[in-house]
Amino acid sequence: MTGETDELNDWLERSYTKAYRTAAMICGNPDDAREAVQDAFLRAWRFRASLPADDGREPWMYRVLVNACYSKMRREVPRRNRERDRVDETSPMAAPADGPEASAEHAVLADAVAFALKSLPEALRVPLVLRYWSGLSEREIALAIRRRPGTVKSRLHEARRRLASDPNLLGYAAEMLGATT
Amino acid sequence: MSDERTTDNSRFESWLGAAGAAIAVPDDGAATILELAHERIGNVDGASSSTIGSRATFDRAKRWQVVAACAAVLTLMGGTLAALTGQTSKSAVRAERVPPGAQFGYSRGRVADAGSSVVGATRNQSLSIKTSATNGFSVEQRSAHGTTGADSPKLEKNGSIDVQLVRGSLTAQYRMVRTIATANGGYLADGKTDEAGDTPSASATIRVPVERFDAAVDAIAHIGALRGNKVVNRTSSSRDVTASYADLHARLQAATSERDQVSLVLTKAQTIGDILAVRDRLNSVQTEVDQLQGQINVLDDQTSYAAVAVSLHEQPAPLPKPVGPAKLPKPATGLVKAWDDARHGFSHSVEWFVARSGKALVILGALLAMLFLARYLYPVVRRGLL
Repeated sequence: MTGETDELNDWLERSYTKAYRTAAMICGNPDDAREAVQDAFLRAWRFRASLPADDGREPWMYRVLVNACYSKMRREVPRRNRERDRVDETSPMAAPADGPEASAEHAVLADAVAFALKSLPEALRVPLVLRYWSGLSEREIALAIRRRPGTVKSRLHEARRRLASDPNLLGYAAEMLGATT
Repeated sequence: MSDERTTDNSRFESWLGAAGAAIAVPDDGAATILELAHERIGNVDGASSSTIGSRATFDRAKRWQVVAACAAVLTLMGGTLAALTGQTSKSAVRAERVPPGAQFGYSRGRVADAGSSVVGATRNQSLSIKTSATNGFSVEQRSAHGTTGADSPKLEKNGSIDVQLVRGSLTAQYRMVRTIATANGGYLADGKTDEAGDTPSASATIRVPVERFDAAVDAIAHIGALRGNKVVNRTSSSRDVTASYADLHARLQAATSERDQVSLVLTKAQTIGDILAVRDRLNSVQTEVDQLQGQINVLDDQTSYAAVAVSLHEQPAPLPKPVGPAKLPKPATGLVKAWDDARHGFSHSVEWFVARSGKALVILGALLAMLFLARYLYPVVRRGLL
């Protein structure tokens, strides 16, 4: 029992960063992201006896995390609206550019992607983040958001289309293309 | 295509990777959560002092609230269902009390059945007519001699209605009249149909409770509005017989009192002559009492039930068009006359020629036909043979 707990403890510590950033990109708010990850992890602890095996644990965790994000976004909308200005100032999308792994170019790109993600509706943003940040397959995304794989596919297509046509990202892509050529 | 998709995927992965990597992660986030989780491990069922623990307590409290709300809703639904069931069973019991023989859900009044013995009915006899209808109305009329005294107004209502029907609908409408009588708590007192002849007709007298008189007449008049029927005549009359009723009651009371006194005298008579004389007087008084009682009963019946005379007759068959004198053609004039003369002259000439030529003309015509055939048909046949 102690070994299983330690193993779960280690796995959660390893998963925290990725899970937190996923929640932050979905919620667009650091407080909501922190609470969502906390709810998901505690839920994992509560049902640790019936957690799936190693391969199925991560999709399970993301399903719980997405549900927690949905719950936070729906409960916290009034508060988030009141604190929108403050949140925008301290948004995780506007992370300091002097981070260890963030160069100036990455900071510009991250800022553009963050704004583009914010402009996407929730139904498109969630599968996009799960697919291209969390690395879930379309089937796992379908399980996480409780939609059909066909629906996930069409939403991903629409999300890609909108993201690719975002003017900030188009400009960035052009700059990048010009730099490479 | 596959390369494009791979490029797209890598591009979006790099974009979101850059965005994700730029997000600052709380340093102690995982540690805090794990600490809370460890607290819960040590106190799984108890309420923790942390926010997570209070939330768990809230979840349990909320769960109990949901359970209590469900129990309340189920209790409310069960109570409503039980109340409805009880009401339905009461209705069923009430329906069982309706005497058998009721048609269309109505019970038929029994005054009509008592009509033949109404003269011999005892005083203070109570007749009860109770109807229970599916359309909601309920008529309960109680006519009790003595209890319904002369203080309440006694009205005698009568009416008649004459309806002209379209052809072929007499039987159905006659049945409808009977149904209307039954549906209004009454009965068909008299009926006669005559379906022979050019104008089939039927007449019926229905008796309905006085308070249902107008409804019954309106219902029958409604027949007149159906499919080209027509109400030809409709009358209704009402007569107040309260005075007659009170007078009869007073006379009956006096006669009864006299009868009792004569009966008392009869018990004290000593001689045969006295006994015979008193008995004669007693018989005459008893006859008077019976007559008065009978009149009161008849009056009671007439004021309890109104009579509606219904006359139904189909429209007469359309008369054949009168055959008048043969219409003489107008004498032709002008061009018409000239044309008629020429036509007649030609036909007369042909007739004259045929009559004069006889068989020779027929033979000549046949020869001409044969020559025609030989002239035009023979070359064709010959070409075919060649």
